[in-house]
Amino acid sequence: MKKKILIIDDNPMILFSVKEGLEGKYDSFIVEKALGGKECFELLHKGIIPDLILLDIMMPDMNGWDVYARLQEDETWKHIPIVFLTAKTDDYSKGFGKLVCKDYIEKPIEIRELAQRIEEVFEKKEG
Amino acid sequence: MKQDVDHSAVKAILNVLRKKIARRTSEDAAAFMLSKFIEELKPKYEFLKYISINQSIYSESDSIWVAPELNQANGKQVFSALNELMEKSVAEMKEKADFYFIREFQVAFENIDEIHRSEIDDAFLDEMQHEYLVRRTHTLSLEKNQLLINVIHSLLSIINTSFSEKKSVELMEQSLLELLPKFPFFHSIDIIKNPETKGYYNVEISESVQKIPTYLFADSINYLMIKIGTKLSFKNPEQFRMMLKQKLGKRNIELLRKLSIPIDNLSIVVSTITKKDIMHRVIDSIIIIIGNRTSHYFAVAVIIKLINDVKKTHILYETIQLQKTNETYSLTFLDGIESSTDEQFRKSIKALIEAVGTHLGAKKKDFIKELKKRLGNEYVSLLEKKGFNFHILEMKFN
Repeated sequence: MKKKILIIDDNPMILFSVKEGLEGKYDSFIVEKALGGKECFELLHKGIIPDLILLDIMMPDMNGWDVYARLQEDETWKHIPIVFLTAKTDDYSKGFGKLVCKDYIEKPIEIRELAQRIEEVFEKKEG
Repeated sequence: MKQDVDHSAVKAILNVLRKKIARRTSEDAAAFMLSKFIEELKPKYEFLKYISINQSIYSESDSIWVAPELNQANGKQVFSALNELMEKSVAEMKEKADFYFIREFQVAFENIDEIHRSEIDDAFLDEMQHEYLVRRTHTLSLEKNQLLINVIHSLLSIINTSFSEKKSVELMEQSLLELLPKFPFFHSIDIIKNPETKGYYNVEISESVQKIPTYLFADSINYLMIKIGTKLSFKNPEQFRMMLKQKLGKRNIELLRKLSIPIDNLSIVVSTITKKDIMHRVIDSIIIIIGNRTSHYFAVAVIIKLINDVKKTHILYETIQLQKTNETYSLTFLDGIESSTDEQFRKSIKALIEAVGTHLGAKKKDFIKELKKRLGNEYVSLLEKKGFNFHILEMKFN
């Protein structure tokens, strides 16, 4: 069964390349895109519940930290595994981000490695 | 109090005084001085005619002669005469009668051979020593340096019952620093680690302290004792006062009283900070630190998650409910946190702090430093008093 990935990023190029890369090269993924936090919650409210969220941190309308916090307030969404996919590479962001996420991935990253890291999250969850 | 006089005891005391004067002058000068003072005091104390100082014979046994008739004299009068004799000696010797002269004299009193000591009523001797010291503060200018050193040593020793030696010195230095604007001469106090004796610190104070007006000097000691007493947060201030008096000893207490320092009634501020307050402060501080680098909203979410995690091993967190309400949060404490043991409390807080620092890498040490800063000295001290060791945590994180 295909895993549904929701990527949230304010950069349309990233949304496009991740969707194309994961869906084009791997049969196991379906990728939903959200151009920021607002779109993310619109999708969730529509009942599109992903198996994993790839979350950018630096976004203009709602940053990734706040998106995470809001997700925790909903019993249905709080259990969705979060993977930060971000250009924020300082020790504090990584350190605090890793406290809550399943993985903290620094941009840029190749699709092959991204797919592998996502698979690892699912393996850990299922294992 | 027994007021009987024993002439041999008086002779022993006079011999001690003669020897101490001779060490700083000469045998001749000592004999001359005592002889002269006894002559001067004879009109006031008739019984002094039973005492004679031989100025021509230097042998210790014969230089002072005390007739057994002295035993018939009034004890209080003899005591008073001996005090005046000592007072005159000190005044005559001027700067030669330094602090060590007094110390040697006290030691010599204690070393008077057993036969003579048994003949001297202990209370009489104690009173004489005490009276001598008190009078001395008037005869000579007060030994401010030594008194301040004694007070600092006593306070350090009390702090050390709750903290490590290093931390005790830090707390003392911090207190002195905080009082510096009020008492600038505190900058001349140095607490130096003695390299020869592990864990022992020397307190050194510049001679210039001697010139500080006595009222200001007394004020400074009073403030220092209150500050330390308050920082140590004794539940019962009387406990601190008792410990302090015990460490200071009778002589220093008398000197402090003479300076009108209310040693029996120090205005120690009792800490009303509870375990609930400390836990609240720790959680608030962590939220601020995380929030400043991410978002406040995220920080609260993180703390809720971490508390849920550590709750599995530290049941104390069962008593804490953290709820997000819009952009802020509220902490509710159920019964139980105040009755937890210090060990439970300390371990629970340590677990939470360690959990926050888990992935901080090179920033772990900075995180602890910032946390201490956010908590503030008072809360850090209270935590350390409960056995929490920030230093070890920093080392562990390093």
